[in-house]
Amino acid sequence: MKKIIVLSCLIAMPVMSSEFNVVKEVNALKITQSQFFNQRSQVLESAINGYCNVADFSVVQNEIQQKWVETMQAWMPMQGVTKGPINDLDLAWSIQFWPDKKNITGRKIAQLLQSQQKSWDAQQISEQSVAVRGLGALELLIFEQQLNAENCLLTTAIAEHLAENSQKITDIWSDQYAPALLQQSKIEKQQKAIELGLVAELSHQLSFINKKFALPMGNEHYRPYQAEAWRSESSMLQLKMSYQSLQEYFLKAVKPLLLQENETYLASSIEDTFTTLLNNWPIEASLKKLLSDQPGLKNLYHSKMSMDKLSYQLQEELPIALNIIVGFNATDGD
Amino acid sequence: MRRSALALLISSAFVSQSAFAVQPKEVVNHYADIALAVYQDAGKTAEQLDIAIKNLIASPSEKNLKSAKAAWLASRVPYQQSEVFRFGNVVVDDWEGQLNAWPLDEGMIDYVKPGAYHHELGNAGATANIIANKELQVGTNKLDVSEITPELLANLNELAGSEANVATGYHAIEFLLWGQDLNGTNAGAGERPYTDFVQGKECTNGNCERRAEYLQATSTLLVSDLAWMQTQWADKGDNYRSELTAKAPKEGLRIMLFGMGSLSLGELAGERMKVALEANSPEDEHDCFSDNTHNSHYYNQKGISNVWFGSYARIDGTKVTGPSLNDLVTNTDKMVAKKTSTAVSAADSQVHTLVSSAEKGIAFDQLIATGNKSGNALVTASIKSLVLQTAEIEKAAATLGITSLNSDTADHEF
Repeated sequence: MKKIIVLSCLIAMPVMSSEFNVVKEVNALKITQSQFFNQRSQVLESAINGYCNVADFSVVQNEIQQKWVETMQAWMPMQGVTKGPINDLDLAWSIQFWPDKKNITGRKIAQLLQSQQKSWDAQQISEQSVAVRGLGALELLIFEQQLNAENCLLTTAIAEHLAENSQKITDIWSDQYAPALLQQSKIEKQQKAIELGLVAELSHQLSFINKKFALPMGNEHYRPYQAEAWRSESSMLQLKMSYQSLQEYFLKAVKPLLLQENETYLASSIEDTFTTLLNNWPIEASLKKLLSDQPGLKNLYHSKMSMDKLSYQLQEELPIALNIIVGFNATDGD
Repeated sequence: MRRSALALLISSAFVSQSAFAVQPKEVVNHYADIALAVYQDAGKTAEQLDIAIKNLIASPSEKNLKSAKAAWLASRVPYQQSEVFRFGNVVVDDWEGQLNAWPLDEGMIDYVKPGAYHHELGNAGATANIIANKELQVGTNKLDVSEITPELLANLNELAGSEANVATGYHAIEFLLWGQDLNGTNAGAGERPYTDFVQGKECTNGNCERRAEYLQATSTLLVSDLAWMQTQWADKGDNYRSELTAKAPKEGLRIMLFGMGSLSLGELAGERMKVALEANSPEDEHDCFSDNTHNSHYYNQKGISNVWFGSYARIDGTKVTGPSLNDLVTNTDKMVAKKTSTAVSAADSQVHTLVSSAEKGIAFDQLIATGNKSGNALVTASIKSLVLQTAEIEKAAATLGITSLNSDTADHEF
């Protein structure tokens, strides 16, 4: 599901000393990630624009497809957040609508292409269903349909809309959100609440990432079309990036706090679990392919063991060690 | 001397307050009382629906179809209030899919209009049409569905691993009574003719006999499922209630709060409102065939409110009241209790605006249309009220010392 809402992280007791500044670390990381996502989005937009301007549709589109995969990878660290500009401006679904159980993306794109509208711009895209505003719609147009005379105008407008949103996110992180967060964290009364809220983000993002794996795995039957990025067959590549970015967040922002609390064993256990998970990650990028045979499934269940362990460590042991309460998030429910 | 007397007075006041203060165990017990009352009402209204369905099948007419629809709408009132018990109580969560799974690929059940039917990608059972076929070919498997029974339908749920393959429950019945809503985000619900149940020459759309058998079988199953759930919440016997009330009271409170927060945020605000609104997708509205979504949402919210205030208005007009979470939190922190109560009441009022809108002729599927700015804003306001409510529920939980709102993972092993 989507991330829709900012939720507070409630504070049980203050725990941290001032030696390490988690706010500064998180700000630096988020600014870098949002800048990179923006840069990838601009590159993708310009590639689509260039291709559609030349309008020689016989040219192979691998390069554009690769740029889409890279833009999607750059988006991974920002999925599932409950704090910051993406949440405040409610932009998550506009950038990527997932899960899309009933193929709303396919249906809405078909409607727009059949509407015979002669021109499209980013503003018009922003008024349409979220399913056609971002990366999922671009994936369908670039991989499933491939760019052609009929869909180029629409694809260009969606890419422009994505680039505008990514610009907005990086601008607000750099110019407004990060400085304001730092400022607020200097107020003694708010400092601990802000710091622990940033720690709780690890748990919220993990819930979202886990869902990306759990949905296609299903209960008794596999559901490959519920996977993220199934059209580009890059689901496992994207998922790996999600866990890698979570690992980075842990190492830079959370591990130092555990060490301050003398939770050395837990800190290194979590680090080990991340390493085991990522070192043994399946080479095959397509989750659909992995779900289709026994060796693939064996790989997936092997990864799942590390994911379950990581979830227990981050969502059960870590909150106790740092004395925080993680509130509800949008993945609670179905 | 004076100061001592005053101190004594204050201290005795505290003693008497704590002597009469609501205890967590009583709150959990009363929660179970409310659950029992809600499931009893859901059971009664399902029995009334079953009678109306029997009348429709025995004597298909416009009037009898209308009566069956009215009975279905009435049955949703208590059931939707029961959904707050779903999250956290495993006995409910494991059971409810057979009654209220949604959204469904209705082409698995009966005929649909080609080109106007949107189903889950990769769902091998999406166009199975059980009513029209005595044998189903799903992937490489052949299934004998010649005799339609409650057991057969129960086993067909999640056929071929798709959650959208819903063969039973409220929404299957809703589809059989209303039919597909072909109006998209324009006014109007499904318009199935009563002649779809007429046996013989007057039968429309074919297979009327099997359609009637199907409707009866799923209605029978609904009644028996609800009867079973009542036994689980009864005040005596070896049942789920006895397990719940035997737990540490704090675990009972956690389950109550987890159910409220999960329904409020992830399910109601998220799955049921936000997806439909942001994607402008009427297939993702909850009661999409009947256009009863406004009531469905409102009574979900009412369920949350019932648990917080420890109060439930039964279908016969009587009230079940008793020790509540509100009372308990008030004992610890009056301000938090007051703010939570305000947020819960505000969510009640805000979500009710969806009902008022429908009563004026603008149903939920019209509110979510692309370009309907005021309609979109109304749904957004409901979502916001649910978000605020959830945040206050979290604070109330913290006040009671509940440090983990997640499900119990004590049995977790690595």
